[in-house]
Amino acid sequence: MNNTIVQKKICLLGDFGVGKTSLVRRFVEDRFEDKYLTTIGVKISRKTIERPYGSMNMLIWDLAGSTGFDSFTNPSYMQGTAGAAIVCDITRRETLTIVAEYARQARIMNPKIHLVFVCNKADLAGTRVISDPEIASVSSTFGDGTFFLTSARTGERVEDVFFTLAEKIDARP
Amino acid sequence: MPKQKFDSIQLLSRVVQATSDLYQLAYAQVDNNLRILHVSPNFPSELADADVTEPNILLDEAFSEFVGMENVLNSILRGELPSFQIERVNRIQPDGSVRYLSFRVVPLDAEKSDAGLLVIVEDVTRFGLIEHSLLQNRNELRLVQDAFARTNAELDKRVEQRTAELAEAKQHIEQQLFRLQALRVNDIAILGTTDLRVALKTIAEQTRKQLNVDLISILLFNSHLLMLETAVVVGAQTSDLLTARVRLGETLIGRAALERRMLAFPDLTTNSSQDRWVQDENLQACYVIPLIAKGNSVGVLFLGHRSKLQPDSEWLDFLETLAGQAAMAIESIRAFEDLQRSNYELALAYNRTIEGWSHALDLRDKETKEHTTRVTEMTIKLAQLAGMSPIEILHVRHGALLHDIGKMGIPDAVLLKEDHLNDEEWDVMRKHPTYAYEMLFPIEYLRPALDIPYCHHEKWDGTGYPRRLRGEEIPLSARLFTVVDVWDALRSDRPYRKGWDEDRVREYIRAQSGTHFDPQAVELFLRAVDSTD
Repeated sequence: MNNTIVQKKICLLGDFGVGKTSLVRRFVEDRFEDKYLTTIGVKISRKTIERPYGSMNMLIWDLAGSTGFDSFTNPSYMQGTAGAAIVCDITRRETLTIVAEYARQARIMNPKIHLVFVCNKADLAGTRVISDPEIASVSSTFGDGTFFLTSARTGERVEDVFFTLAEKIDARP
Repeated sequence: MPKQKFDSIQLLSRVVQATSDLYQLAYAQVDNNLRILHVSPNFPSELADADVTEPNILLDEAFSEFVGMENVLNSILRGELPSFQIERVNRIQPDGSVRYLSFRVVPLDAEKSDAGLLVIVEDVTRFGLIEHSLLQNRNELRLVQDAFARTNAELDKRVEQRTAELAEAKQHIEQQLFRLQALRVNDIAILGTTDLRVALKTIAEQTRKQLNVDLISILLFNSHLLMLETAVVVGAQTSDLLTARVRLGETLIGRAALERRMLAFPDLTTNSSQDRWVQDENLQACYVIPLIAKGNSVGVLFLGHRSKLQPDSEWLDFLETLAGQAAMAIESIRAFEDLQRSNYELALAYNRTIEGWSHALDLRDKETKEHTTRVTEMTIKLAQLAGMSPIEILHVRHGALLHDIGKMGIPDAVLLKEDHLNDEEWDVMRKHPTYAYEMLFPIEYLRPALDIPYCHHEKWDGTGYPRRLRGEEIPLSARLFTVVDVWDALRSDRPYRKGWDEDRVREYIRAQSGTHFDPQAVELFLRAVDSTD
């Protein structure tokens, strides 16, 4: 049995209110809270996941959501980040339009960063305003064109987001 | 030296804190290997991930915020980067409260590289909580605004969609209404005329208007000639159609009638037709519908359009409905014509029968046929002068012709007796109006003609028979006839006397006015006689 432990910094980026904190809470604590609580600065959580070589200690930086490009994430937060999940809310179209810009700026700050595209609040299908083709169009800017339709409320595909990032980081640390 | 510098900084920190309690500053000295050497007494050790007082503890072991930051920190050590800052790091306390820390990393000696780092930790919880509260409110407000905007957009969309649906429904209802009105117009035309061509012309015009097409022609089937003959045409450019005759089975029209099925050509540009009508009228679409009523082919409705058609099911349904109306019009008006012809024939037969009876009666009564003819014609003339309607005059005619029909019931011994009648014989003779009533009343057709046969022996003063009617109790036709009958009888020769001259009869008639005769009837009669003279 391997006992190798690696520590990796993962960031969550996206507009305010898209559910970044809820995704982290679901992944780390496996729970969900309905009440919206805004994040200022950064909230760091830890989660250790099993990997073939041992384990990965994920330091998950839940960054304050932006309210436009003017207040885009502080570049210093992105220092040393191995991967990032860029999150949008399928019930708010404006949260999608900012996704590509997040990806572009993340790559400027850290060219080696691994990115995944997350479309959250899949449980709110009745008020969904972003279609699959629209998501596919944006996801093409992420390289492999994949995206995750997640629900922090139900837990749908939340683990897939973080494990996919872990796989990408393992494949090209 | 670094230790001394660090002490100086601690001193400076106390000064800063003394001047403002807003600043909660703490410090840690870090060596070139990023190990913590010293921390200030107020350093928030309880917020560290490891015991910061232990020797050789690495900065990123104590504060996970610095994991992966080696490159940045080394750049500061080498003097390549002036400083590095992480602001408002959330730290959840055991009681659930949040503290916000800001980390600022600067070289310990800005003038000398590899002199170690100074990590300044600032507790910004007070600012953080205020900022959090403001941001929370602002973001919640924005989420609510977004939700409102989305709801409004959704409502606008629904309103737009509903408006479009309502407009479409209105258009559909209006179209249905127009079509119903067209059907009603056709119904009125069918019911309001006995002229088949007038009804078919209305149907053709409504069909052309409602289906928005260029040409409508309706042809009637002549079962004797096995041909279809044009009844009406609307919208034709050539005159050939007006007199067209088509043999059953020939051309599209003859085929539709023979096969008893609709022939539809919505796009003749791809299905070139040799049909002469199609070519002469430059049609690009045509429909030929057989008109079938009660299982019989009665004609064909031909619809033509000079551009292609793309009919929907409602259009086709309406076309079939209109064709059905045309068939019904043909059937019902032809049935009416047949009935009318039968009525004429029946009325003619009745008239001949009545005239035959009248003649038979004259022969038996030894009365001349001319007498009945004369009194009938004169009574009709008086009825016209009295303002009677044509149907009343018809009944007057029948009544006059049959005025003595009751004498059929009088025995020959009485009726043909050449001598004077005794009282008993007169009693028998006076029964002939009652016999007339009994004979004619059961015949519904002749019942309205009873007045003259039944009442022509009543007198104005009530001394007549059989019912002793008085004045205007006596039907007008009978009052008129009585004058005429007496006039003609007195003017005619009898076996027992010569006919009176006109002046004497005129005098007699005048003398009987108000007793035997209705005075007004007398006046009318004398005026009529004068005008005849």
